[in-house]
Amino acid sequence: MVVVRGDRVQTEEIFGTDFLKKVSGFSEIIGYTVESDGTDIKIEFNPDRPDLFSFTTLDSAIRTFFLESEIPKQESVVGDVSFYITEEALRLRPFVTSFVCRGGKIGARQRDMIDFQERIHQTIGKDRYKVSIGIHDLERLKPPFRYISKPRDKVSFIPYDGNREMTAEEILSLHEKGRQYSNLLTSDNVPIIEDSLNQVLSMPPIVNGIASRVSESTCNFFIDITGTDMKSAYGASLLLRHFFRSAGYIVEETRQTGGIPYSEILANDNRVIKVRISETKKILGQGSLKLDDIGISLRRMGYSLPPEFDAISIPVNVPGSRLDVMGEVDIIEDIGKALGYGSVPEFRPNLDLVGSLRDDTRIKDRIREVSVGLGFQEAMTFVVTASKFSAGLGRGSGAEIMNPKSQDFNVIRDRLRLNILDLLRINKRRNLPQRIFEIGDVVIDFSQKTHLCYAITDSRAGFSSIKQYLNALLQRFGKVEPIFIPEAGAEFIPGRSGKIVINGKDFGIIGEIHPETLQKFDLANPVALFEIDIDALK
Amino acid sequence: MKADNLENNSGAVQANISPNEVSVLKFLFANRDAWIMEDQIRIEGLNVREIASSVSWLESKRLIDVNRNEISNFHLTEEGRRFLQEGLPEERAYHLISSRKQLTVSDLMKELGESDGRIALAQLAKLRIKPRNGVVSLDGVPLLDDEFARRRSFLNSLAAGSADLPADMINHFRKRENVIQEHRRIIRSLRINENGIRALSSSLSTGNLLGELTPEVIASGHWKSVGFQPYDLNSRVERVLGSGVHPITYLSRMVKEIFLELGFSEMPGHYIEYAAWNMDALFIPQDHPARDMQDTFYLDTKKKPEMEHPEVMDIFSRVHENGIRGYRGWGYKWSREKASQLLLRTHTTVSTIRYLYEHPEPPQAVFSVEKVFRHESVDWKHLAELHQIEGAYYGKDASLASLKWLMREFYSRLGFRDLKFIPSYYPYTEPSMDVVGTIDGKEMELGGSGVFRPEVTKPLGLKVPVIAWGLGLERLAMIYFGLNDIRDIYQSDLDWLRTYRLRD
Repeated sequence: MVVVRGDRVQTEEIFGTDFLKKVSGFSEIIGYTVESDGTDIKIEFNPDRPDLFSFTTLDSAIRTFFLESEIPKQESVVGDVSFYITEEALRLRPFVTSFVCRGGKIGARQRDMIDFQERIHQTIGKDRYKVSIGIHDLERLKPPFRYISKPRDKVSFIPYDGNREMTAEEILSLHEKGRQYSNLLTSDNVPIIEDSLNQVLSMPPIVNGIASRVSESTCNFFIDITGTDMKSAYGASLLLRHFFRSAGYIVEETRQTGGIPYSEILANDNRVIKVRISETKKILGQGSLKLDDIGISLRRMGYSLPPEFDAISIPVNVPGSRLDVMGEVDIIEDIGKALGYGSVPEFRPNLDLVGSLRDDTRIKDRIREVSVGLGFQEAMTFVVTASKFSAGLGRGSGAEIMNPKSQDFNVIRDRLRLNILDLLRINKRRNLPQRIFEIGDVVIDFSQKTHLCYAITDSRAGFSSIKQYLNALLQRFGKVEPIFIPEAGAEFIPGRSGKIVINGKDFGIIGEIHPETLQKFDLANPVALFEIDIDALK
Repeated sequence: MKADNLENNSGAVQANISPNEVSVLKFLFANRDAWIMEDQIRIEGLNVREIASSVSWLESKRLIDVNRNEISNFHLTEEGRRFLQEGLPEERAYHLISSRKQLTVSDLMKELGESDGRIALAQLAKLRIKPRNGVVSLDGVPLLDDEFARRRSFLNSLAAGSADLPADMINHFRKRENVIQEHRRIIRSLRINENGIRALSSSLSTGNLLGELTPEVIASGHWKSVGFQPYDLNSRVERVLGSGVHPITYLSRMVKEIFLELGFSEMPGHYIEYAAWNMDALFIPQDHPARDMQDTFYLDTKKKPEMEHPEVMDIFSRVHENGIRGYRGWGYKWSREKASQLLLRTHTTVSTIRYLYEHPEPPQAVFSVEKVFRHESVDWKHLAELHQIEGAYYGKDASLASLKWLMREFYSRLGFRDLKFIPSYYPYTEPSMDVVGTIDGKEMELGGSGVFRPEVTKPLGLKVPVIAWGLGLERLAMIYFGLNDIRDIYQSDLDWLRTYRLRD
């Protein structure tokens, strides 16, 4: 979830007093949530629509949807700001692009702009690794600008929020942002953007200099975008251009030498994707959908269409800021959204099929029935469990979790009985006797098996009492009485535990739990149990 | 209960009091001028439980007066015991900071670990030690050694079982999460009252009506001439605890029945999956946050099980890098190594997509109700593993409209009303839809659904659309059984397992 948050009064000053109402109405179309407590507006988005992650661009989408205005578009104009990019700096952050925008004072929208920038850093920028953005006050600088590489100790400037000059080295070890992102600059040299007076605009992706600091009265901006991933750099550029145009600015291309030429970025704007009418009807399940309704839905969602189109397919122009649109079906979904999911008809599919359960589901249910009949209560315990349960009790290989969240949940169980002992511990103040069983899966050497464990605890619970129940269970499944081969499982008392062998095959273990194990699980009463592979009952 | 003494037994029936209750009454009668604490009662042949049970009966029959006093006992939790051994996090942090003059927050986190580090910061903040610009120092802070010594000695006394504990410390640790645990106990004090004295005396006298029907009485023919002592039919009886299936079994059967009625078949699956099937098959990009270590459990493995249908690797590589006709793909360099990681399946949609790859002839309608795993800390509202209800339909009339029909059919059979359909986002469905429904007057998110993206279906040879949906079974359980703590489902109270109420 991506959260966009703003001051309610300020937001309504910029976008109108009915803004919150419009945002709420639009939320049902797009599928985000809005909350407002009077002083704050908080919107939570799914991560797929970065083009909506600011009030400015959201407002633009809403106005487009209600047909108040179109998504702002503009022919590209090339201005006179030059930006020289050196090969050495490209070795540090290889994908660089820039643009300029001009207009009125940014005013109260400054907050929205900075938040938008930060959200791009977080989402498509993968926390500035893939791409980072610098926004600068053009009037305070003297172009041309240069993107260069300098040794850490040969650069010094005042960070945007600082009051003294710091070397790059100092910034990376002392400044808050420097420390946060120092892992993104690992070589001895750092990338620097400076103007013709050697004023530092920024040290991407870490921090801007104070020289280019933006304020509410800034009118003209220079934007640098640097990254390690070309697609993310395209994306960030297209999103920011969309932001500034939505805020009423004119975007101007720079005269950039090196880096990504603006033509490459613009090639990603207004892609044409053909949307077939038949496919639209098929995916939405609306055979009677009218061509006009499809057309108007597309326009509402910000796409532009040719004035005339046929009933076979529509060549749709996709705005560059719609990074999420990968093909036709994404646009079809938007048609569905514009129509409203609530108003899509409900259609009964021709489910002419015969349903069935898995064999193992059926046998497990029979085992449950028999077990409950024998007076045992079913329990279920966690599959991912604590390695400390089996410490010293001989674990099979494999199935350890590489990144456990806590030591209480760090291995996949290889047997049920330890979890059962833990459950008895939880219930040690409950009435005796306790008879419980669990049917559950365990993993031994990567193979997943279904086990069945019966346990009895009482002031007296011995081998013969648990053996009675095993015999009763096996009898119900038509199995002969097993032979027990004495062999001490680590949890059991030697001589009172053994392998369960049925028709010459080893199916599990039975016995009295050793007092040492009982005490490990903080149990005061004896426990007798067996654990078998349910293949024994098949 | 065996009647050892016929005379007493028939008398007990008369006053409706059992021999055990008579014994308790006798004990109280001997001390009739004083309030007797329940645990002071000593009666030969009766254990604490039997005494407690008799006391409850006598109280309900109004034969004794009862006073209740609450007393609190405190114990250390597991974490509390760890703090006792390792030192409280704030104290360890305090010593670290004082030995190094100052410490950055991130170094503190490294030294103490994320969880203890956080506790230390929160506790130090309460003692006015707060990080400034990410650095913590002790400048201007009075010495705190005494405070920490008191906290330590409090934990020590608790561990030693001392009852004499300073109230301010109890208050302090009560407010902290998970260090001490409070057990409240009610102690009853008892006194026999006039009704009790009367009942006791009549229980000791001989009755002339028949009491309990025994084989001896039947054989004697005595009943032909003597009447039967009537019982108080409304007197309390002891509770019987039966046994039954686990609530999750009960619910999952309910869900499976719905699927079977709709013509769906159950599909197989397993916990351990290759990332290729769990993620790449569903077009989840390799740098998607859901694939991070913070979101998914990966397995530490030296050797690996064989991957099912390894030929799909090349397909996933192509689709992720270049997309399919009309779809641009992710455009990155796909990594076979990432796809070869082993993980605990994060959803059972992996079973759906593999099943459909193995059964590409439409129509197919499949489901499962199986465990999936999430990299979550376990607490009262989160589990690291839960059952996912998964349903999918693959057919030429699968569409958003038929998905809506299925959702209404499925969820209304589970008891949900007023369904709302909300646009959503999942990497492998387009359109994607969330469903919200109302049950017991409460609105609840019912989980995600959608039409599989063409990048998922077409490369695996699926010819028509697939619609699928999923929902966590434990969320349903919480509503159905009115649970406040989701952990109770798996770390269960046996009494609850044996008595939970079924839903109609």
